[in-house]
Order: sequence, then structure tokens, then C-alpha cells
Amino acid sequence: MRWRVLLALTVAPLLAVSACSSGTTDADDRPLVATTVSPLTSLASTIGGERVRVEGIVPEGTNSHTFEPEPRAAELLSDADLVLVNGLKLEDPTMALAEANMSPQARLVELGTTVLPESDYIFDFSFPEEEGKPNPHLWTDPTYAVAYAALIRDELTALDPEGADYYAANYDAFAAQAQELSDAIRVDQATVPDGQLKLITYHDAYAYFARTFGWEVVGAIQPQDFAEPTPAEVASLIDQIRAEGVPTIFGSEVFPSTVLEEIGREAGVRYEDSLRDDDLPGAPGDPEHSWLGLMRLNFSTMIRGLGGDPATLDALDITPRTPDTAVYPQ
Amino acid sequence: METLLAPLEYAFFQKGLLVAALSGALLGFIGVYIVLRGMSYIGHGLSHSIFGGFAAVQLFAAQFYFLGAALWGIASALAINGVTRRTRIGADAAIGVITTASFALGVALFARFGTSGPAFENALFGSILGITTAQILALVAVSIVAVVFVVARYRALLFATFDPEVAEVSGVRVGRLEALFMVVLSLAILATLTVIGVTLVAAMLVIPAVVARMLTDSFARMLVLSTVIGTGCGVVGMYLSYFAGVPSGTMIVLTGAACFVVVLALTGGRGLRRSAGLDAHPAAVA
Amino acid sequence: MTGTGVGPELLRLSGVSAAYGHHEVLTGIDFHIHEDQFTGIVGPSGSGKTTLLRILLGIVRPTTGTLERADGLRISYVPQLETINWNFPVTVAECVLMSRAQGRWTPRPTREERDAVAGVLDRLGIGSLAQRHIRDLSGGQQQRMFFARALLRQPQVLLLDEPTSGVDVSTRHDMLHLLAELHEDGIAIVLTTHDLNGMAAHLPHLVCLNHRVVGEGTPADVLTPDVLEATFGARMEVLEHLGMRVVIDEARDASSRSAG
Repeated sequence: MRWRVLLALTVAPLLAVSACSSGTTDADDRPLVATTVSPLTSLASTIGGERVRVEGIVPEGTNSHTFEPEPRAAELLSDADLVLVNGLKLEDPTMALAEANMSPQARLVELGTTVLPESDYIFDFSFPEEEGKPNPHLWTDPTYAVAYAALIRDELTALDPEGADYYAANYDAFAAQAQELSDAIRVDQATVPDGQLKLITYHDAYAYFARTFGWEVVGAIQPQDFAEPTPAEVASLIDQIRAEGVPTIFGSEVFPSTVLEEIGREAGVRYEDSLRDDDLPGAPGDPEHSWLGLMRLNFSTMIRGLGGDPATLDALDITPRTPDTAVYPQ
Repeated sequence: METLLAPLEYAFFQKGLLVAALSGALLGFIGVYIVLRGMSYIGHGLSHSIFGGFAAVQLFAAQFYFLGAALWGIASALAINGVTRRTRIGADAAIGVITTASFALGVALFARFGTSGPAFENALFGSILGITTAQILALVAVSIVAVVFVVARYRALLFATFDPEVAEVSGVRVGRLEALFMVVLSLAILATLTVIGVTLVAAMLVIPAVVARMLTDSFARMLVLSTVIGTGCGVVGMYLSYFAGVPSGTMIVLTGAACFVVVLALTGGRGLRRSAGLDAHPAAVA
Repeated sequence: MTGTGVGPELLRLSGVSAAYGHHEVLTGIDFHIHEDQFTGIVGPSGSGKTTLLRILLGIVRPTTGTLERADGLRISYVPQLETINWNFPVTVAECVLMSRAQGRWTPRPTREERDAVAGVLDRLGIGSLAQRHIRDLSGGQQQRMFFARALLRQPQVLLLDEPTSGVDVSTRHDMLHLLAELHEDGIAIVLTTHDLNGMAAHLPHLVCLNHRVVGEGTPADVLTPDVLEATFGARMEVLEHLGMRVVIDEARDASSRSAG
């Protein structure tokens, strides 16, 4: 974590310089929407389409839980008309920065905190109840993603009433695609052998998804504070994997975990290290570089890893209704 | 007894124990020279420094990030050695300047050109609970190189550490010897960094040597004691971390610190007086 | 005790100058060390004494001029006590053994080496201190330990930097006897000193240095008011007592009192 702070401190002046050249153009008078992690940026862009400018803050492939925003973010936040964050205490530093810099007319919306009633909060391995931070990964569950989209639609309509129909149409198209994704997941997860819908991941990002879709999250290896796991935790996870008989455990591409690899080796299961947490597949502008693309890839990887056949997911059409022109910091 | 053997049923724990013992021994061994040369900060410094190499390699051949980091680490160590010997800048100041500059350069390269490979911490700073056979082999190889080098050049290295000028006059090729030592040191830091992480490397390079210094006035005994203490801290810390439910690296550092406190209490003022001059450098002769 | 430099030449400096940056420390030095040399270099602080020693040792490279050494010449050096970190964890025996570093591939001393170390320590009267830590020695004993380390290499030339600074009168006396003995054994000796009466006056050959060689010869030749004034920049009185020169240096005594 110290590295990140140092990195942020040292990078700051460089970014401030480059921001002058690559920043948004003043001539563009469309509303400016600032978001945090890239899946949210994609959702905002999907609904806002060409009527708004969308710009993310957290670079793709960064640990959003420990991310410290850079000065460029303060500039963006002060210009923004609408700031969309996940909330549920995921981006506390960014929210503090937003509150300090936002213009009085702008609105800050915590999507997750608004959508999820407190009674539905999930606390687990990486997000223990004592620390008061619930698991914030709501958007990996398509049903909640649709709820996010509806909220974004309403916020954009309030900001830009003339675009009401446009946003509604974008939302409808997205909701239909998300429903297709949900259906495809249910079809394909049925091909997984009985009792095998069990997840062990590096990043604890699928708690709400699992509850909705009837999967079981057996464990996650990355503690919230980035500290190392203890040997006793690793030992009990190995025992658990053996007892549960899960065939594959999942790691993340950006944060290769030698511990998870070792657990896989010792428990005699496959270690699949290609899940993606926050970084969308492909490059900005590609059809798969979107929330839909990210989720299709992850669920397809999981179902295949657990012995199922994700044919329906793989065949899914994820072409967006409007081209994605949001800014994704890399 | 059975409880003590329980964690040994797991291969990851056996490997962790082996690596903790081996890293503790290697760093305790080589740390004697580091502490006596007033370079205690070098473990921490070099771990930062290699970020420059990691970032530079990302520009053209990301898959060789480890090689880039290694070469960069060796180059930084040699630069520190050169600056310390050729100028009147102290070792700690030279470490401070060179390693932070190197780190900042890495950050600048990253900020300007972005990254395509894995996250830096995850790629280079391993966990003692997830160790590959290749890492163990590398650690064993570096340990052998370090022991062979230090044993074979024992007296020359001792002379050069104690009194480089008279050593040079007495026929020891101090410059070449120290450069070789810095290469061995960089390799030791790199090999341990990938299995036990920054904090633990920085701690194990210093704590066993300081504790050993408090226990003896003889160089040969200090070298042996420091190695033994490093090994002991690794093994005991690893075990304690299993039963205490604390991350292993943290527990090993705490074990070392506890060892320090106990020895301090036992040796009292005598131990303190012995270790007092570890960072003192006699005035250079004009 | 002749010491004026006869016999084969071992080391020669010709027209040597040295500078630290733009600050010239030595100019136009011609200096020879013969097999029979026993020379004291005297001069005030900052006169270039230590630099001259370091050039002879090959640690400092002269800016102009040449240094020639006899093939395979063995030089030993006894540094000033103040340059050493006395808290370094070595015992007396370990320290003395350092000078057998060249070409050794095993840490453990051989029987021959152990005997040699014991022999040289005995000869210097500190045989019983072999296993002591170096910090636990008195100034005179520390000096002897360095002598022992230097002698273990069986040098042809022995260079010493201020060997009597910081030691008491009786130790200084012993030191002089020891040096005379070593010289008798055929070791060429060159030392620096600022101690005119306690050290310089007892040596067979002196070189007066103040960035250049101001005077050279026996104490009777150079311990004269004129040469001393050229060397130290202050007028001094010189008396003769039992054939020895005694320098009366009021200004110097006064300044060293106020400084120390």
C-alpha cells in the first residue's frame, strides 16, 4: 500500500502536466459525468451514450480498494456535473476528494449504497463485519447492475430532461442485454456437475452474484488490507477445498497470487488465473471493453473452470446500442 | 508434540519453513558485512531501486521483468559502492540518493508509458506461503554462491571491511572485492525478495547481525551467530505465525525484535556498548 | 643507527606534486627510500605529511611526477589510531592475521600462521592479549597491535603515520626502541611526526616538510631556528642538551593549550 501512496505522490506532477494536453475540451458543453472504476464508467456510458461525456478516475488494473486519487481527479471532479461512485465504502478517498472539489450544483450519487438496503449487506472473509465495510462488489451481479443502470438513467434525466427518451431507450436496451446475460448464466451453469457451483477466488468480488444465482463462495485469499494471509488461513482453505471437492480455484490476471497457486497445487485442483476484477477486456472502443464483456468473460471462465460448458454465454451478442466514447484511464 | 507437527502436514508450510530458515541464514550471514559497513538501509533501498529496472523493461520486453529488475539492482548496488568509495558521501546518503532516484525514474517511466504486465508488488514481492520450486532453487544457488564467496575471500573481505586503505596497501584488491560483494549482496536481496518480501528482507539483513554483535567481540563468531540467529528467527517466527494467526513475515520480524530485546536485557550495557559503534565511521584522513 | 639512506634504493619519488581539487598540498618533492632508511617527516598540520605517506603507499596518485618502486616491494603501513573504528568486532589475533589476506582461500589460520601471530605478538609484548577485543586495549597496545599486523607481512619498508600521537611518555619510549630494533633488523622506516623533542630529535634522519621539502638531514642539521621557521612559520629557540637538540616552542605550546 505504501507503494501506491509513493506512486501517487511521485506521479502527480507528471499527470498534472499531461492532463493539460489530453484533458476534456472546453468547447464540449455536454454534461460531464465522473465515475470511479471502469465497470461503472461503462454502465454510465451505456446509458448516457452520446449526450454526455463520461470520464473514469481509477485506472484499469489498479486495486480500487486502496486507490488514492491523483490531482487530475480533483480537476475532473470539480468540472463534473454528476459524480457516480459505487459507495459501500469502496472509494472513500475519492469521495472525500469529490466532496472537497465538486461544484455546488453537481450531484454525488452512491450507486451501491442507494440500490442495496442495509439488511442485504454481505460481510465475509475479505470484508469482515467488525470493520464495518460491507462487500462492495454489487455490480458483478447482473440484477444489481440493471438497478445501477436504472439509477443512472434517472440521474441523467434529472440533469438533462431533454434526453429523457434517449436515456430510457438506452436503459431498455441494456436491461434486455443484461437479462440475456442472466439467462445465459442460468442455462450454462446448469451444465456444471451437481454440487460444484463453488467459488474460491483471489479477489472477493462475487458474493452478491453467488447469492442471486445460487452459487457458494467458499473463500477468498486476498484480505481487504492487502496484508498477507496467515499460514493457518491457508491451511484451512486447503482443507476446505479438499473437503468441498471444487475442481478449480480462480485468480486474477492483474494480481497474480503465488499463494493461491500454491493452494491449488497442494489441494490438487486447477488454478485459473484469468479472472478480471475491474479492468475491462480489450481496449477502449472494442465491443468487449464494457461491463457486459467483462461479466461474460468472467462467468464463462468460471463455468468452464468448474466443468461446465459456457456455450450460451460465449454466443451472446454484447454489441452496445451506442458506441462507447468514455475516457478510461489506463 | 502432535500440535507442533500439525502444520508440517502441509507442503506449503514445509516449503515456507525451509525458505524462512534459508533466507534467515543467508541474510543473517551477509548482513554482518552490511551492518559493519554502515549500510543498514540497503535492503530497503535496493527493493525500491529495482522498480526502475522493472519499469524500464516494461517498455520493450515485459516478460523479462525479473531480469531487468535484477540487473538494475546490481547496477544500483555498484553505483552505491562507487559513490561511497570515491567521494566523501556516506554509505547511507549514497543509498538514499541512488535508490530513490532509481525508484522515481521507474515511476516516471510508468506514468509516461503505462504498463502491460502484472502489478509490480505481485510480480516481484512474493509470499512465503506461495513458493515455487524454481524460487527455492534460486535461493539455494544464491546461498551457495554467497557462502563460497565469503568463505574463500574471508580474510580479504574482513580486512577491506575493517580498514580498506591498509587492506589495499597490503595487497588486497579492495575495489574489485567490494564490487563482487555488492553483486553477491544484490543477488541475495533479489532471491529473498521474491519469496519473503521487502520488510522481511530489510529486517533480516540487520536484526540478526546486530544481535550477534551484542553477543560477541569476535568477527568469526559474529558471522556464525548471525547466521544461526537468522535461521532461528525464520523457523520460530514461521511456527509462531501458524499458531498465532499472524502473517508469517510479520511474525518473523517480531521474533527477531523479541530476540533483540532479550539479548539486550541479558547483555545489558555491555551489549549496547558493543553495538554502539556499528554506524560510527572514523574520520577520513586528509 | 645510520639511517641516512644508503644501500639499494627501494622507492623513489621524482618531482612529485599533489592536490586536492585546486588546493595544492605538495610541490616538487624528490624522495628516496633506501634499504637502510630511518626517516622522520616533520611539519605542521596540513603541511602534506600524511599525503606524502599516502603517495608512497600508492593510495594517492600524484598530479605530476613519478613514483618508482622496486619489483615485488613489500610495504607495511601503520595508520593513525584515530582512523579506526575501534568498536569493530575483531580480536587482536583476528586483526593481526588480516595481513595474511592475500592468496588465502580458507578462513581458518594454519598452524604456521597461528605460531607467526603468537610470535610477533610476543615480540611486541602483547602476547597475552591475543583474544582480547581491540577496544579493550590501551593506546600503546593498540599501536603495538598495528605494528604486529604490519610486521607479520615481513615488510622491507614500514610506513607509520604519527605513531606516537595519543600515547604516553613511556609508550613513546618503548616505541622508539622498537623502531630502532626493527631498523637494525634491516627494515627501512619512514614515519611522520609533529613531536619534535619526543620523536624527531631521536631519529637519525629528518625531512622538514611544508608543502615542499624545506630541509633534510640529521637532527643537528635541520633542528635549527632557520629551518624550523621555514617549516612551521614561527621562530623557535633550539637548545642543546647532552648532545640532543631541544626545541623551545612557546607559540606552539600556547596555541596547542588554547586549542586543546
